[in-house]
Amino acid sequence: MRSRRALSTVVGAVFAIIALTSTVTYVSYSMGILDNYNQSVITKNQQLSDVNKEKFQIASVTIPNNKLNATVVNTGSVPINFTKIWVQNTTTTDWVRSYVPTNNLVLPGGTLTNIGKTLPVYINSAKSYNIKLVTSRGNTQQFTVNSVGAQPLNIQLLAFPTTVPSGFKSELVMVVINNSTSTLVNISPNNPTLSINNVSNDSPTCTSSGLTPTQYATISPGTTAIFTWDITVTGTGGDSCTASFTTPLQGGYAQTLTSPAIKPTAVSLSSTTYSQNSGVITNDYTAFRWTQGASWKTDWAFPGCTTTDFQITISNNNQTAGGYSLWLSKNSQIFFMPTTIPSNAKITPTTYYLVNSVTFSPLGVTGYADNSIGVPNQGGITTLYFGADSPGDNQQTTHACGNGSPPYGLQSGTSYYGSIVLYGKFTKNSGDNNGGNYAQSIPFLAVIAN
Amino acid sequence: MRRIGSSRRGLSTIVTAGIMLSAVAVLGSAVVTWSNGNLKAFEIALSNTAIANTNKITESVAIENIAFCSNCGSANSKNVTNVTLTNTGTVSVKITQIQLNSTVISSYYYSKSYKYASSSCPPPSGMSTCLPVTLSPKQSYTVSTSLNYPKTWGSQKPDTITVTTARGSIFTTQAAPP
Repeated sequence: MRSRRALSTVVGAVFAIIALTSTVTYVSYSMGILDNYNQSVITKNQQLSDVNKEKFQIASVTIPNNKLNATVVNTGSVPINFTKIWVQNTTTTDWVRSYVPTNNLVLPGGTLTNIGKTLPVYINSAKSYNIKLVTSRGNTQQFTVNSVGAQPLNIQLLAFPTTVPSGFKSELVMVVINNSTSTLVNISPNNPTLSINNVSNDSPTCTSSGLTPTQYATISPGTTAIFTWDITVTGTGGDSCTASFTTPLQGGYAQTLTSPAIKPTAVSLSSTTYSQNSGVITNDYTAFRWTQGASWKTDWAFPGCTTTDFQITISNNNQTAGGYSLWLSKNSQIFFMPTTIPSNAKITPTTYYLVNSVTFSPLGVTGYADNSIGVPNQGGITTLYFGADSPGDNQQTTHACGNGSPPYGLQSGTSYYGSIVLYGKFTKNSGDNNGGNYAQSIPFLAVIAN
Repeated sequence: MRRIGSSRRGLSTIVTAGIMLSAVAVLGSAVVTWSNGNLKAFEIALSNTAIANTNKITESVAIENIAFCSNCGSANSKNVTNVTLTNTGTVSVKITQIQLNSTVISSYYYSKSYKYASSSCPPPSGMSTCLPVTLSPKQSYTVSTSLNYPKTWGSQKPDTITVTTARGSIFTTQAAPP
């Protein structure tokens, strides 16, 4: 019995070994197959990755002696091998050729020059060409030669600003968008045709200068090139200048473009904008007067060390209607400062406060009652007098000369600069509590006490 | 009696054991043979599938250039498109079909004798570039596809070109006719 059991065990073991061996062999084979497939997938992914890493740019394209000469920069991270160049004469129907370039390898970051120089193709400047470079990985890049005229490009004309002061410059901007599928090379604009619309029947002018840049070496598909000109315009009263092109780009497609009208404007001070440009209160400098005796005198030089009073004429440019006036405060004044530091190194202003009036023979002033003078809005003109030594006083500013007690007043042989300082309130009637307080300094002119 | 009886039981036991052993051997051999055959079939199927898929993913075809021919066939017919293909992979590729805007190309232009399009490859006379074609690695080939009248490639409109290989790989690109 023992020997019989041994026999069946051996038979069973043999079958088991056969089954196990077959299974292990199959599994091993399957693993090997799967490993090979996995390696193929990895290799394919690597190839696809390399295809994506392969990047290059057309740096420049020139046509010396009617031969193509392109320069390419490898901007990717893998070497590039150019295997073919396609040349299509798009001016001639059905003219397509392919060539194998002689210099065709460029390393990452490197530059490959003289591409196409040895091709048996003569580039006719009167015809346009599509050139396509093909790499060993199947990537392609196409550019065009002399072909900006082959189809219309997206070109826009803008002007910034469209309204400029007469004699100033506006910027004419040409935006060229390469909406084609090819890289454009050597793009230069033509000069604009400037048209003047003389509305005011004067002599407006319109000139262009300063094309920047003069040329783009390449414009890749989808990218934008911008050219600018300085347009100087003069004129008034609705005159305008318009820039236009019938063929915007040199050798390009004929497409009419017109810029927005550029309108020159005169620097004007109208009644409604005068206060914005010149100030709410303005001084008529020609009406400046001074007196040291029996009459008012012009000129900006007068004897020093002598009692002096002043007269100015101001305008209220506030356009707020409704009977409002600027009621002047007694603190309104003219003050002078010496233009050089005196020997005692102390600059002391000489101040003349607002007075009601100036009397002659003898020279005197009448004290100013606070808020008693109102200058009407919307262009009211009023003559003011200054001469008091303190607000509302009827004493004149002292002009002691030499070693007297300060204030010394305007000294002989000294030049001064001064300002008019006006305080007041815009109300309908003197002393009204409503309305807004107002203060303004007006640059004065220099005077010389001789 | 005991010895005789013992002898009979021994004989039957031996016979039974022999029968059992034979049965086990026969059945076991049959099972092993059957399973080995199945495993072999699985191996072959797995191998074929793996090789097919490996070759398929290794296939790489670049549609290198599309040239729209205006006057091929007849003047301004605009029905011929020259599609240049390059095998950029590491295995040979059999190009079986080209579609232009979902239209399966079944005619190929040839111009040796006179301008004509043929659905046979090679055409009745003259040289032509037609399908199917097998491309070795790095090899380029231009197929002169011809759309049947009245179809034309449309100007200034993107056309979609689809290339199919015998292994089922599909490569596609777009090009704009002039």
